[in-house]
Amino acid sequence: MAAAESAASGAPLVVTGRALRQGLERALQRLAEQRGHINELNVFPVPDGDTGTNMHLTLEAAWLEVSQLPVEASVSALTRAAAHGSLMGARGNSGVILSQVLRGWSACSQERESLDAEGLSEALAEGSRVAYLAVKRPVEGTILSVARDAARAARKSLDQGDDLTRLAEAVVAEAWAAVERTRDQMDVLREAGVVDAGGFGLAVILTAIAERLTGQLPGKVELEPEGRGEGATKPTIVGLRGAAAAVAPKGGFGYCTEFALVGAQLGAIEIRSQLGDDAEDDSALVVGEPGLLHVHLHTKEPWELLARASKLGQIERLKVEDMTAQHHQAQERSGSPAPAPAALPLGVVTVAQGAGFRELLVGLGAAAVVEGGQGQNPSTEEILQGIEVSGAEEVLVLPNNANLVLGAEQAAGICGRESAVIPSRNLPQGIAALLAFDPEAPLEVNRYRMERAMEGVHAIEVTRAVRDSQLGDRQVHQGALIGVLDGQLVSCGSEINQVVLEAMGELPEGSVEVVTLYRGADVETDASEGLERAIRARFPGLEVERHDGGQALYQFIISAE
Amino acid sequence: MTVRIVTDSTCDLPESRRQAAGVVTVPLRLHFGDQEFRDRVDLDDKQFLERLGAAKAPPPTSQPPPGDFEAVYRRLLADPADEVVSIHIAAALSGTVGSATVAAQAVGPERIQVVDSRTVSLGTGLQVLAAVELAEQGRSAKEIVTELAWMPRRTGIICLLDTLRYLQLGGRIGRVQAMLGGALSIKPLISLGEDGAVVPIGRVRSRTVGIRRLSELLVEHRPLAQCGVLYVGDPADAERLLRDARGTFPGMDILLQHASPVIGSHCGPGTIAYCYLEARP
Repeated sequence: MAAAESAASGAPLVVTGRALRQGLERALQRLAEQRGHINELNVFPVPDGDTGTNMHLTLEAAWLEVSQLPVEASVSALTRAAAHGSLMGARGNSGVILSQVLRGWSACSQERESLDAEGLSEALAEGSRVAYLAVKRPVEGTILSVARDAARAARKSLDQGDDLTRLAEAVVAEAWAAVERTRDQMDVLREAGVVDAGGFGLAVILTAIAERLTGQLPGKVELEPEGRGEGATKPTIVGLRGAAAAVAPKGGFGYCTEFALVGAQLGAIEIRSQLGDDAEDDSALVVGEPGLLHVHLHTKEPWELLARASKLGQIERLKVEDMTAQHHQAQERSGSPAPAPAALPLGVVTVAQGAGFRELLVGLGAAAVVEGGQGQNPSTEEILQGIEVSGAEEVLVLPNNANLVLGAEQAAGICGRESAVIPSRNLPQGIAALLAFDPEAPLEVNRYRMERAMEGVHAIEVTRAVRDSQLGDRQVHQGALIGVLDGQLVSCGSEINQVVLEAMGELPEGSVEVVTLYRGADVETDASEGLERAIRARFPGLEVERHDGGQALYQFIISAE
Repeated sequence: MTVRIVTDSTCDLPESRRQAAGVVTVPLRLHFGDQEFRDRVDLDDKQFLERLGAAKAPPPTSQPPPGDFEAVYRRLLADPADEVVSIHIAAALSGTVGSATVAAQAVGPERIQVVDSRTVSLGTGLQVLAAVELAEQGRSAKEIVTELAWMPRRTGIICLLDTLRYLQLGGRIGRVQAMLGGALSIKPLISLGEDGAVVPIGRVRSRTVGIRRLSELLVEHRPLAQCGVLYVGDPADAERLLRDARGTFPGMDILLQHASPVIGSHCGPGTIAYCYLEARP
């Protein structure tokens, strides 16, 4: 169905109110379908909530007003209704900007029954201009740059003497190219590997309207962006690259299916409707003339699709690719080898033994964790390697062991970059120091804050005596459990709970609010739970937290702060 | 000539103060599932906390549509001699300033001054109160904006969160991302930067330590012109902080207020904070 008034040649001359109305309806439908994709583009960290939902609700508000008008309403009346509706129903930044784009269209369409190519070009330009006015400090790489570049493409196309169809195609092609460019225009997008959600939403809207004007998806959309990855501008692919990329949808991604359909009697729109639901999907392309059509779409059942297509014409140059397998390969590729660490301005290099501790330290922001600890001290060279591996330009070293402070200072002294050692004598001190670390503050500020944060943190370490010794007037036998508080032997016995509680009794009165238990590799979870209960019973009011440290030799390392 | 002051629902001034000062409030929106609520209009604090507790994720929030501002501005500007000063939540956190600006352009930019408070909650509230006072002295909208210009840089908020989860899910985590504690449970202390974006102050291991830190930090901001205590959920700790603040600043009129549902949905229950306005240089 041709939505615009057509001359005998088939090329529409003007955009009528009816065509625009159908375009807007189609755009609303497209946005509803793409809402989820667009929301996913808002990857963490996101500038605002749900762009897809917001844009859809905004356009829906526009549509509610438009749909009140008679079908023969002029472009002027229609854009005015759309602008008003969207203004009242605008949600989120992208919604407000969209409402301003529509307001610009409306301002430019006043008293006009329809828009010719020039009128459409002017409306797009005005939409862009008004949208820019709504933003105090316009930023490149957003919905604004997509609006502007699309308008410029329209002008250029017009100046070349293109007709309305060509102009609409140029607008859509440039809109998607601009969407793709947003990836490189904003740091947050580049880091997340996605395009701007608002810009994407606007491109979806422009595409849907253009599709109604030209009677088909403009051919240029199917072009691969030059020098880019496969189909980077296509909705589904972009979605896969977003935050949702880690999880394949139930049933997989299906098959990317592409073929030429030769000798069919029908046009693209009719073929599309006869190929089934998958052909109605947003990423689906059915373009060309009757007799030679190009089909490119994603389906979970390519065999069904091909069976239907073979009834309509002859299938040639068939290509079917399993996207689920591609997705897995892509994930494997990105999983190994490990990406080179990005250059950090300031990083913390620390030392720990035990998988649990390593994980905790990385979770708290350590740039590198050197393996080692009590009885297994890493060499200066190993610490130096840790500093190298961190990729940080300036380094703070947390040795987390009294025996390693000097080695760490040595390594820091020869590492050839700005560095300092925070002399943490145990892991609880190291963790407290790391909690105070602010990657954006200068090294000296961090040094001061981290050293302060270590004060008032006590460490109780529970291990077995390696030889006979004396605790006051008590004999400590080799192999007995001992409790060491801040480097001093304070308790001994045959039971972990008793040794810990006795050691905790030595803590300065009223100085402790949170106790964190790090379980050693050789201790059962039950024992850790039992110890937590025993501590809560003896010291009600304390917050107690349990973690797996995974350290050897030490049954428990306990932080009291 | 009258200058009317407009703000939004995130400006956490006590209702009685707003009414006494004739401040007009435009509500932001919250979306629990398909249901939309106007902040503080369709939901009071208690209903909000109940819904938040029952919801799987905190509700998305959105700025008021420009149409709401247009309606308010048109109503307030019926007399051609009158003007409006419209003071709002930091543009770095919400598009509210954008909506207000769009509306102001439509209604009459020469009669409406839209101000980015570059802060939030009671921080915005303290600027609103100052604007009200200037308006009562008969100052013009332009004069009021000029007079207020020093305030954003001297307004601050220090906030102890019970968890980073709400900030994270609300998408306004910004630089605070670096504060995530991994498996370790931590209580983050946050503030707002010069532009109003969220910045980390520190992370502590317990709420008790965090509240003590709030009291310590409050002392460091002296001399203060004004301050207020803000909370989401249980007021007990906020009252404790209020007592400390009264001890530090004897004779000061210190506000205590539950945060609006929109603020609450981004910070989460258990949040406790203070807002301050430093003395004018």
